Parts: sequence; C-alpha cells; structure tokens
Amino acid sequence: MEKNKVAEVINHLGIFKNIKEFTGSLLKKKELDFGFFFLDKIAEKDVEVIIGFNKNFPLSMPQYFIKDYDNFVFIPHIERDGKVCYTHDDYVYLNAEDPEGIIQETYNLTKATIEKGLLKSNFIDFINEFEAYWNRIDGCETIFGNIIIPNEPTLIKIGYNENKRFAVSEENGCINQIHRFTNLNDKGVTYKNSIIIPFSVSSDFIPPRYNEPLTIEYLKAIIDLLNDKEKQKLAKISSGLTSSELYVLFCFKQVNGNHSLFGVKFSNITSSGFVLTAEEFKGKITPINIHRLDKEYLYKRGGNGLSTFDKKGLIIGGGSIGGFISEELVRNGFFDLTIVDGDILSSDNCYRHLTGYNYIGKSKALAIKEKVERYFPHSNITEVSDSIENAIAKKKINFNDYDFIIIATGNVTINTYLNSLLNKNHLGIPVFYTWNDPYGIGGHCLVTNIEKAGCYSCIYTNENFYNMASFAHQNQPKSFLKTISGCGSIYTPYGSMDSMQTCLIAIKKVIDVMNDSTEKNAIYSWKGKSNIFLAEGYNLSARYSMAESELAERSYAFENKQCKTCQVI
Amino acid sequence: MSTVIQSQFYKFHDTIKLEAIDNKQVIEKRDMLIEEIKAYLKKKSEESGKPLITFSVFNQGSYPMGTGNKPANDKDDYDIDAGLLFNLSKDDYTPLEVKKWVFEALDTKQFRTVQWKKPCIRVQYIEDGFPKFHIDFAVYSDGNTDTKTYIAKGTPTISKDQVKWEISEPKRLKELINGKYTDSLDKSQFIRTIRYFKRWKDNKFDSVNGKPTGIALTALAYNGFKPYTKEYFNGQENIQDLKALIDFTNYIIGQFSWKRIEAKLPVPPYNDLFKKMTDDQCTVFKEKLQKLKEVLVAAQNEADPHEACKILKKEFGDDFPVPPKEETAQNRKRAVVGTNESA
Repeated sequence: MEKNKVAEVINHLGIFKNIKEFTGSLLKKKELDFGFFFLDKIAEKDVEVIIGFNKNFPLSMPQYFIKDYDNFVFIPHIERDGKVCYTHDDYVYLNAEDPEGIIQETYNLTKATIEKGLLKSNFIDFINEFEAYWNRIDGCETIFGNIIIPNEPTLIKIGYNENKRFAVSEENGCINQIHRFTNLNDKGVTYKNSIIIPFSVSSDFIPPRYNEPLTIEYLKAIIDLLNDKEKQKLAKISSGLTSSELYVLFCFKQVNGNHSLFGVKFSNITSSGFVLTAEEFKGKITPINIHRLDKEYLYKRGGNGLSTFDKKGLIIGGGSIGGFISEELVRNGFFDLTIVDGDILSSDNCYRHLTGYNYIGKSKALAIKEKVERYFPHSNITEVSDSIENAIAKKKINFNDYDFIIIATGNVTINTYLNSLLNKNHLGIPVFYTWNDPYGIGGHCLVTNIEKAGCYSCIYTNENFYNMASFAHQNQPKSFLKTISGCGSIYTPYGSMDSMQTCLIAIKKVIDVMNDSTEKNAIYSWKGKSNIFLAEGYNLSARYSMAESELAERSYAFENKQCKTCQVI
Repeated sequence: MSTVIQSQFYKFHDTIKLEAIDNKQVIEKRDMLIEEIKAYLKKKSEESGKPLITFSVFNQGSYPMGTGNKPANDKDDYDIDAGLLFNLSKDDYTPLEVKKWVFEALDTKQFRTVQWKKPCIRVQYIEDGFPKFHIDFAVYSDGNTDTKTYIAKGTPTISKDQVKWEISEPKRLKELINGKYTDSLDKSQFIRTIRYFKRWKDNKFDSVNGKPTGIALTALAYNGFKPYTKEYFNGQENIQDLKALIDFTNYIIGQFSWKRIEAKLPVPPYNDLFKKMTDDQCTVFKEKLQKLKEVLVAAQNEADPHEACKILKKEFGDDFPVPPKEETAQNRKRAVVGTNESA
C-alpha cells in the first residue's frame, strides 16, 4: 500500500493526534518505506510514537517505536532503537481486507506493552528474557557454550582456538561434544579455568541498560544474592583464578523453568584476588553472550519437551528401521544409545538405510554412530559391530544397563531367542519389537516385557508359526522374497517410508512407556496401501480389514495362553 | 485347539446331522398323509354340504431349523413335525373338533398307529415290532380376525382346562434360529453346537422322562451360545467347537437357580421348556452338565488329540471319531518356516 493510501486510512481511523510524517534514518535501517509520528499519553506520560510501514502493508504488520528511546525509561520489550515488540509476525494472521483494523489493533497492543512497562507490571519479562537484554549491551561479545547448568558455583573451562572461544563444563563428554559442534582448526585448543555462578533472582532484578557501561558493582550485587554456603564454595574454587583475563558465567532459573545463561569477560586485570570478591577491581569488563549449544537448551527448542536425557537405549538391528529409530530417538532426547549389528552396509541397501551411499563398506552399527553423532553432537552412540548372539556370548552387552530395548532385526529366529532371554531374565525392561510387512501394506511395533504375559512368542504360538499380527494372510501363493540377480541379491520388498512409518510408531511408544508407568504390553500397527500387494497375487489377512478403532481396541489382546515363553511361571 | 480335534468335531457332525436324504422316506409318508387329510375333508364337505375346509402345510421342529439329528441308536426312531394351518377361526371350532378331523382322517389302522398328543396328532410307523419313525401334525387356527395364529392344545382324555386354542408363532421360531447369526461361520457353529448337545443328551439320558428336550437346548443356545470362529485379536478364522462347547456348557450351568433351570420358548407362548422336568430330574441334568464340562476341559488340556478324542467319545457316544494314535503322534510342528518380517 502506498504512503498516501496509508495516510488516508490513518486519518479515517482518527486515533492518532497531530500525526506527522517521519523521515528519520530509522526507517531505512528497519527496511521500512515510510512512517509517521504522533504524541500520545500513556500511563500519564507523554510518549512520542513512530509508526513505520513498508509497501507490503497490510501483508506485514506496522512497526512501532518509542521516539528517542535512549532518553526514555528502561522498560521490557523495547529494542535499542525503540522498537516495541508487541507480537511476532509469524504468530498472527492479518486480515488484509481491514488495514484500518490492523493499525488500530496493533497500536492497542503497542500501547499496552508500553503502559505495562511504565507501570512496572511486566518487569518479570526482564527476567524471563534476560539474555536478550544482556546481548544488547554495548560491546557484548559472543562465545559458544556447552554447559551443564550446576546448582552451585562450579569450575568450567574456556577453550581458546585462534579467535574462537567456547565455554564447556568439565563433565565427561562436554568437551568432546563441542569439538563436534565447531570446526576447530589444527593449531589446537588451549583451555583455561573459568567459573560459572548460579544464583536465584528476585522480581526486581533487571538487566543493565544497553547504553550504560556494565559495572563491577552490578556484578558484585549478584554475588550478594548467594547464600553463605554458595559464597564459601565460590571462595574455595575461585582462589586460583588470577590471570589477566578471566571469563565468569552466571545463570539463574526463570519462572518458566528454563535457565538464563550469560557472562562477562574481565581483561587487562591489574588488581589482585578474585575479581568479584576482591575489594578493588582494575581492568576492563566486557559483557558476554553465550551461544548455547548445550542439550538442555537445543533440545527444548526442537524436541518433544520431555526429559529423557538420562535414559539409555539398546537397539538391536541397525537396518532400515533400526537406523531411522536411532536418529529419531536422539532427536527426541534419547542421547545415550547402543547399536548392535554385525552386517556391513552395501550399496544394495543404501536407499532404504539412514546413512546412504557414503557409508557403504562400514558396519551398519558404525555407520549409524558416525552419521548420528556428526549431526547431533550431544549424542553418545556406542556401536557393537557384531551379531547380537555373539555380543551376548562375548559379554559385550549387559541388558541390565539399559532402560529400554528396541529389536529391529527382521529375523524371527533371533527375535524369538531374545524374547525368551528377556522375558525370563530381564522382565521389567520394556522391549519394542519392530518390523515391516512386505510391499508397504503395514508395519508393527510390539511393546512387551513391561509385564510377563503377552510376549513376542505369543504372536507365533500357533500350528503354522504364523505371525498373528501380520497384515499378510497366512496362506500365500508364493514367497515374498524378490531377487534381482540371483541368490546373492534376495530382498523383501518394502521401502524407506515403510521403515520410517514403523519407526514413528515405535518412537511414540518409547516416549509413552518411558513417561507413563501405566503403559501395558500391546501391539501397535500402521496400515499402508495394498494395491501392489494384491496385484502381485498375495492375500491380505483379516486383521488388515479391521478399522483403526478395532486395531486399537484389540492391541492388548495378543496374549496367547498356550505360549511356552510367557505363560510359564 | 488342535485342528485335529476340530476335524473330529466336523466328522462327528457329518455323522449325526439329519439331512433331507435321510428323511426321504418320512417326507414321502408325510406327503401321503396330508393327501389323506385333504381327501377326508373333501368327503366330509361333500357329505355335509358345508364349505370345504382347507389348510396349508409347513415344516416345523428341528428339521427345518437345521438342528435335527439322526437317531442315536437303532431303538430310536426318526421323526418329523408338520404344521397344518387351517383356514378357520378359533371362534367357530373347538381345538378338539379340528384335531379330531386329523385323527379320524389318519386312523385307518394300516401299518401305523395314530395317537392323541397334547400339542399334536402323532402317526407312528412300526417295523418288525419297533417304532421306525413318527410324524407329528400340529393343528393351527389361521383364519382369525385378529390375524394371529393359534395352536390346538388338548386331548379328549385330559382335563378341559388344558384344552384350548393357544396363541403361537410357529414360523417365527425358525426365523429366529436361522437369523441369529449373519456370519456363516458363527451360524454353522451355532447349529453344530445344538446338534452336539442334542446327541450328548441322547447319549447320556436313557429314558424319555427326565431328558431335556431338543427345543429346550435350542432355546438355551439361542439365548446363551457364544461363537468361537475367529481370533479376537486379528479376526483370523479359527474355528474352535470345543471352546464354544465349554463356554455354552458353562452358560447352561449358570442358568440353574438352586435345583431348577428355566428356559423360555423365545416366541409365544413363551412357555418354560423345562417345566415338565421334576426338581430331581433337573438336578441330574445339572450333574451331567458338570461332568460334561470337566470332560471338555480335560480334552482341551490334553496334548495328544487321540487321547482327547477318546475322552470326548465317552460323552458324545460312539459316533464321535477317535483318530488313530499313529496319526496324531506324528503331529510335529514344522521346524523351518518362511516368515515375512523385515526390518
């Protein structure tokens, strides 16, 4: 919309008094095409407000600024240039047919934001968005951080690699993970001791103003918030921190449970003693923004919101399903996994395997480890490139080390053997058997070992060793195996998407079982299209024709009283 | 359950079930007798100058319901039930009057005896001094202003209060039984189970007195039978007559209230089909049911189908087949089986 048109809309709206055109450089900086300013009274204070538009309006929201914010009261949700953050473009729908309404309603939100700030009723937002304000302080520098938030003052390391700096916890794995996250050059990394100080905040704790120097007094006030025990700990561990340059990190828990993490760099230190507790400080203070790479922070942004970091999973079978499951488990916060598979990844497999062509010639377990760890630096994948039978015989695996076990071998003989072993000796560790039916007609996840009755062998306890959960009928005119060039390349027809679909139901059930103690042994299945299967002359089972509601209702009814594994007391 | 045992149940059923071909001679006789009744009525009309009384015929009893059995042994005779629907109003004739026409029409003293029964007129054929088969003719009034059908009840020798036109829906029972299940597997198992039970009672009760009737067992099955033809989990066909029998036996035992059991005809007049049995006879019935249940469960738990069928034979009689030991002993499962799991 052109300037004149917008001016007409504003005039017609009639809520802005003495409105004039604004032509300051702010517009260009904010990629706005034109703007206006006007005076309003907000919380009994005269406030000059700029309203800026670009020509896309009303497809984009107008932006509002407090004019001359440097000399205005410091309140939440106002950027350095005075921009009022009243909402976010991505989270609103603008009815482009009503530009007048858009201006009216966005200004109402803007005014409310300023009003709350002036009345100090939204100062809690300073705390909840503390890092954002800290990062805006003049001269703020950024370093990477892979920090496990501690409960008391704790030593950490600062890594120096040319011009890169990163803060890492001393806990096992954090340093290794940061190496995976950042491309460090060959000149090596040197580490210096540093410290992180967790503290609790009160509601009047506000960040320093962006255009005012960060003072030692402000930082010492944080130390005053520590209790005696924390102060003693700080004194104990800070005694050796006397170099001319020192990083100190701070963190506190927000009301919403997340942690704010920020820091300062003391440089050119000429005074003695620990900078924050010595009587005198001589040197330079630089605010530090932490580019967070820790799993708590990254996972909360992209994960399912559940805390599963402490769960260990064993995945037996690193084929198509096992590969996808490994990666998806990590994406869902199950970082500590062991994968057992002795098979070598061949080019024949590459289109339905997680890792693809780049990893052929490696064992499937190793290929998955390398790919997943490369993409998800917090993950800790142990590979056992051996068959599960050998791994057990050689004591490479102890089932009791794991919180859950996923079995994706596609081998009924091995699955039956494992079922017997786990049902007899390791009852209580949830086990998830996963497999695909041929030709994309479906896939299954059997959750078992939560209770004794209802196990993998139950579904094969019948005269013909037929898989009772299968969507393929027991009687078929021919084998499902296909061959391209003779015995060497026999395969069962299913695709990558089938494995992904099976992976999804398995992952959802792992999350359910790990977070809900009331989950029971059950079979979950997904149904795919049957046209190719039928065109090949194969027969579907009665279970395939069941409605989703029937499958769900009967998911627990697979227990077989004649089962020789789980029915034996 | 072993498919071997289920196969024996199928064989047993094939042996005991009464089919049209088995009844051919009886059906021919019935048709002949019907012609005799028609001739009688025609003659009666001509002699009296009154209008000809007409009737239509339908099959009733177990035969049209598909639940009929062959006689359990040579002493027992085949039977067939026919309903005669007279086009007359119950207000114009007494029940005995109409039944008497049928009696007189058939009582010609030729190779047969004709008996008054309370619900029918029975024609009994004898061969070599033994009953060979009998045909029961139930008489109905089917020309009433209220459009309802009434059965003629009574004999000349019983008390007058038991002589009556009683409301009845003879065709409805057949519809109920045949319409109970729409699934063909369930329906077949329902019919088979009724036949098994009827054969069981013929095998386990010596005399007519104290023996539950076929219709009583049929009514119980109508109310309480539960089919076992498919796996609940996956809907796969898995016919288990033994399981259905155990369940049904349990159901019947559960119907006993102290010494008695009651089962009402599911159509008018909704009479209790165990009413004629004394308390003691009911108790004997219950004891025999409990024994049956024990045997059925024992057969289910028996690993060897040969032994299981031997146990079942004791309850169901000599027609229950026992597969040779050598056949069942080699019933080893396959050790190498193709699968369709992939991962």
